[in-house]
Amino acid sequence: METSFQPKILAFLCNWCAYAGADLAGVSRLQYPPNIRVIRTMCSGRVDPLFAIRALKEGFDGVFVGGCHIGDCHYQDGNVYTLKRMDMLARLLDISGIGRKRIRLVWASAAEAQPYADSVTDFTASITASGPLDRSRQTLALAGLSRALATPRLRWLVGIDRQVTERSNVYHEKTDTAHFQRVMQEAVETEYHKAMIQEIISQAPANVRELAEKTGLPVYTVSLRLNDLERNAQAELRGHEGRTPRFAAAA
Amino acid sequence: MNLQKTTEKTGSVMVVGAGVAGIQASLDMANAGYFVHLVDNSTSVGGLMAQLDKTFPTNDCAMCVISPFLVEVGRHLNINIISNSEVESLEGQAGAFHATVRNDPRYIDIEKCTACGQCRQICPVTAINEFDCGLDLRKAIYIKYPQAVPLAYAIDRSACIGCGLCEKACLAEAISYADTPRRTVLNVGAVILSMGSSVYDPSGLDTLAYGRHPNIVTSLEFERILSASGPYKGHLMRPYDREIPEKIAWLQCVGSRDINRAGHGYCSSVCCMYAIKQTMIAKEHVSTPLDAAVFYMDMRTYGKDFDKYYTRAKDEKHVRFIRSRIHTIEPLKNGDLNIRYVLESGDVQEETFNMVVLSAGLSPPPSAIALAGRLGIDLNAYHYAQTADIRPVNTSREGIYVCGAFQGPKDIPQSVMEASAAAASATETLADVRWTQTKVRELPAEVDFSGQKPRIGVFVCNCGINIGGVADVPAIREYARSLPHVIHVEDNLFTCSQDTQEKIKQVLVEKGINRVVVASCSPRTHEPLFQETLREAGLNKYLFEMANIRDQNTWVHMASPAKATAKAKDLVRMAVAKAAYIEPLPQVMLDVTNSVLVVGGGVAGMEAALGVARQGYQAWLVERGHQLGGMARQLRSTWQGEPVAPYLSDLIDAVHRHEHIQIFMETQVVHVTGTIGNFTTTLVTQDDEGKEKSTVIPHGAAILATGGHEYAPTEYQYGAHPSVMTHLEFDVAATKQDNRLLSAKLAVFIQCVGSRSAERPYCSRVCCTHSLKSALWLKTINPDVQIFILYRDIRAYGFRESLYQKAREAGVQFIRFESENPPVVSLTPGDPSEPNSSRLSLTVTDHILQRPIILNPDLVVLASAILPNENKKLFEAFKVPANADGFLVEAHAKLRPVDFASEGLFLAGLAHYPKTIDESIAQAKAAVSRTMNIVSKTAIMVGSVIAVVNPERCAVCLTCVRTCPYGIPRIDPEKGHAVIAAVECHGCGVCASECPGKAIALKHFTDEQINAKTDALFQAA
Amino acid sequence: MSDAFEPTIIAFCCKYCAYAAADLAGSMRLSYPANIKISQVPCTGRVDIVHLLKAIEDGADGVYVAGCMEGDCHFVSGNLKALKRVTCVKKTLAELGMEPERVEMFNLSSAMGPRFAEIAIEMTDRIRKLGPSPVRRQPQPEAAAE
Repeated sequence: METSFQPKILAFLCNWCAYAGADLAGVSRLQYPPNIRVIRTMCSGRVDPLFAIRALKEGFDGVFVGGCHIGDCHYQDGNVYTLKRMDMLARLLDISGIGRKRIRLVWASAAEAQPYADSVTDFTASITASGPLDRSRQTLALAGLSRALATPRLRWLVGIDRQVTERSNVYHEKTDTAHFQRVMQEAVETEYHKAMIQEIISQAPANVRELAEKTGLPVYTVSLRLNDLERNAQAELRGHEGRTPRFAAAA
Repeated sequence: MNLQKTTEKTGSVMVVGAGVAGIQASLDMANAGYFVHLVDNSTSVGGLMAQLDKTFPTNDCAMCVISPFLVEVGRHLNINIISNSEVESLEGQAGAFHATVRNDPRYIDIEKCTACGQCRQICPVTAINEFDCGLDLRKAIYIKYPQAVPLAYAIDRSACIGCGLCEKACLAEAISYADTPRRTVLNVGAVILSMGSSVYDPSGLDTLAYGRHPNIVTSLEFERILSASGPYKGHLMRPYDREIPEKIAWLQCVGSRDINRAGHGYCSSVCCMYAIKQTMIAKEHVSTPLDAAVFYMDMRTYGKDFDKYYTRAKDEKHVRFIRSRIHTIEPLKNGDLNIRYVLESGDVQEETFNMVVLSAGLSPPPSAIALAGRLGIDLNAYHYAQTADIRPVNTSREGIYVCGAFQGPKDIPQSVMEASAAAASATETLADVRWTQTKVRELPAEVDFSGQKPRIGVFVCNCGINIGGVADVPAIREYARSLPHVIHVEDNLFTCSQDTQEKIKQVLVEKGINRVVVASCSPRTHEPLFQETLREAGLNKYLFEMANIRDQNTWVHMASPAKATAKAKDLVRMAVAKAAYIEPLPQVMLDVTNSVLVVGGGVAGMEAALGVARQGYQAWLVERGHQLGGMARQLRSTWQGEPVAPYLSDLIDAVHRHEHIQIFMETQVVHVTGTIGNFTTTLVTQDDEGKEKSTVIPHGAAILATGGHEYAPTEYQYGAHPSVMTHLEFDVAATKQDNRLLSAKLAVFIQCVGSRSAERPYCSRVCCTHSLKSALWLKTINPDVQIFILYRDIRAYGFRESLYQKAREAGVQFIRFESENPPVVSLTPGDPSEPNSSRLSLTVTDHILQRPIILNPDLVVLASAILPNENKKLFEAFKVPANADGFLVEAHAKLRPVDFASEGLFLAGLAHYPKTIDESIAQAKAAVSRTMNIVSKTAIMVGSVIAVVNPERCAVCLTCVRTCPYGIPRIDPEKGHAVIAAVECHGCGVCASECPGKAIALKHFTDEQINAKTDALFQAA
Repeated sequence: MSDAFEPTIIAFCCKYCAYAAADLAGSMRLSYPANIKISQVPCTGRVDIVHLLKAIEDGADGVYVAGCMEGDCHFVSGNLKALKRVTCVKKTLAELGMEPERVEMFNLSSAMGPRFAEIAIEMTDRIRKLGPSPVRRQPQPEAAAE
């Protein structure tokens, strides 16, 4: 077994619980692997999934997010939004093939030094076992994830989830959770697919089969996603090679 | 409005289903004095036709033809469009029905929505785009298509998650989440059902692999692929990988003529033609060669100009037509499709294509079947509305009528024809309550601005952020202030909103504005609205000009705001420049003569005359012969087996007895003058002693139903042997129980006698059905008779296919022959002392066996062609055109199938094209309905955008007479110059541009006005 | 030099097809150069030789007429007449030593929004390559006076 690999892990810890828990771990001299680098945020709700992708792009092998327990958030329910976002991020990572194993969300109160240390130890072990993130092979995926996570559609959907499923939607009803999850899943998949395609055609025009090969998507899926992009003036037909049309980012 | 006792007859009607048939029926009735509730379960009107790319056989763009109708129905004062609604129940009886209509919420206020599309752009939820047949996605908030009427979005509640984002984006405040289903009770005198058709879903047909591969599409999906507004913007590509196909196969009869798998025993009537159309359009769409192959059983191109279309596809466009049965389709890895098929000979073949189109048949929509159940009307075995041939638009429940594809699968012109027929039938019993429920807009008198200088008001629209978010609207507004004659400028968030309209009216009056310019969206959608506002403020509606700074500016130059602002200024400057030259165009009222002249005393003519009379107006029925009845006198029964003779004698009787009908027998039309609303026709009647008597008839409209006759064959020993007879002779013989029929042991029917030939390149439409019907009759008389039908294609369209099935079941044998190799009938001399003892011998080359078959029939029935009656002088008197085959030419092959291009003249029956008796009756009733749009009014308005002649400059060179596509200009010998009748002019302006002496001006588009715009564009800065 | 040249092009579009196609291009949010300014006519048959020449005289860099597909004219045959007139004006321009390509006739249906945008792009490119109208290069005393 290769043990020389020392992963780099970035952690976002909320000021009131997880960060305090980490401090307490220090005060208590609890030992855990040294691979983690911490950024303090006021609330875990501040953690944008884009931060995680940025971290992965720039050399981290895993991203750890720590916040207060549900119900204990210093800002009432900021951590519930974190939960929703991290769930969306996990789905995206799974679709991209990078896998949700690269991120971990942990609740740790200011008093939970041991659980904090255990989580860090466990996550570090897990990332070590997974090995380094091969960025050279994941360039397209990471670029696609960034693009997808920046779309107003995903950002709006993840933000509105609790309003419509837990409180009340505009029809004074609760939106069926399964329905919302289907919408979310569909949005996550298509936005990621489109993002990859956009990434490629923004560099040079490509045909459907080339796009399928580069993105790893089925040919027909590429055709459908292109259609979506064309309709929203994000891609356009730009010439032919024989009978094969090429698509480019819209001017 | 007064509350009426609901048991009283009402002058309102309800039309259910707003496809092309429903629209036509609504317009006809609303224009003839009835208030129409047009109910549709979709968010907009237009039906299936709006989804089509082109239409056969003219290859007209479907949207181009239908959209003026959509706009008209959308803005009609006497049509209430009730979209998103279902009829739940219908109580009461004919004349006084109470319909309960459930209006499902669309969550958008139609009055407020400007269809700007901001909501669509931000909506996070996608759904299948049904309009594009699932080839594309739409949002949960959507509009069916850009030209939709009502032009408003709707929320698909089943997809919506209720996030509320659209409300935040909608500056027009049109979103209304609080909408709930509403129930309304409508009092209506009659109901017309026009719920149309859905397209058969082939997923159940396992061998065709539909749904298992994206490159296998239905014909409707292919329409969307071809459509410029479809998923691929009109570029022909296959869905799987967007490759441009090199080879496409069309498979016919998918879900039609298939009892075993599809449960549809009927022929869908339209698929052969639309497949041919698609092959030709597809070839036009690609610059690379495209191989198109159509796999079919019988090519059913039975309509007007259809056979020529088929020939063109085959001979000029090199479309391959392969008579075969499909075995299986097998998708290959690369997206291609392998087709295994069986030829007529039984040989199994294989061929690979890049794409496959399944010519899916029609079937009644489930919602229509359910509604029919609620209304308690009879359906046929295939769940279509059951009708009788002699009452083709009446359902089984009195007061409920049917038209279009819900009555049976049919094409657009037939649907439109029936729609008008249903309108005529539905209103027949409501004639005494005509104009009782209709609304009239009360308007102030028009202010006379003559002699005043232009005082122009410019209203610039922000259209929410659609214009204002791209171009600098305040800058445009201030720029407008600097233009000549402009005395008022303002900008509005939504110029079209109700409150802005009120404000505009006020400011027009207060400031004495006499020309109005609105810079906003397209005049195509909004000009009528603004013109109405002008009119309500006392301005003539032509004192108006629009600058299209949204659809043709900010929407297409979003990325360059500075350029969009500059262009908007240019467009406003151009509009203001023209506005300075525009003048009011008052309309003149012309009295209408409330009677109709009907020429031709056959079934179509008599039905037309009776229809007019029952609507309460005088009909003049002119017949050149000495008896009424025309070709129907010889017909034995309709295709469904209803006897013709009793129907005909009742009809003749009714025509004779009706007080509003005057019949002129042995009479010819010799002279016609006048225009729509006021014709004067001179008739000459031959009396018993051969003396001629002239009568002058004033009438508001005319229907030509001059009929046709059977071709007298010169082939197949016709005339040389008594047992060789035509269809009509067969019918007469059958009625007389003629022994030639009763004792026949071997009867042969020969199809296409005189039809589909070089001389007559059209299909006579009725003969296949007639032969099948006759063969079945022979079999019932004498089950042992052996029958052969020699044919080229069996064209038993629609439910007539059932006769074909029955004939095969009854043991009738079918032998196909090629036109190059027709059967040969010869005579073997018999006993020279006995007359007619010679024997018939017939040789036909069987196409499957590839060898001649010799038969010795004792009866040969010839499916003789139908020819139009010779009426050259009559057609010249009315100045109506006939085609090369002698059939009258309608104004538009699709949407105006009973109108002539010349207004006020209509056609019906065999003079138009061969047709069965039910179709003739429907067309005659349709013609009645069309005349009601004229004669039910006391006066018609004429004028506005028309060409006028300046007599001083006219050199009588006849250029206008030659150039006018409608033949309207004529030289008045007394006045000594050309005249253009205001009532007839269509307003295209061709004459104005051709006139060498510049003696003609097209109002509202004068040289001065057009040049003013051009000058304004180039004299900028 | 010609990079900076922004031509002004007038397009006479018939109400039933070309103008409707231009609206559809808008609905579909297709983008095309802002150099095209549309003047609506009821039918391209209304477009007179005089209107085309007037535009050239006024300094138009390009002029085109866009009508229905051949055979689909709402007024039967106005578009065919327009084609004849466009051909005639082209000839006249050639005789005057001006590029006949500055004037063109196009046919499209109301459902062809993308084609409208294509034509606009095509025509703008073409005129850009040709450079400003020679008429425009002359000083215009009338315009100066205004």
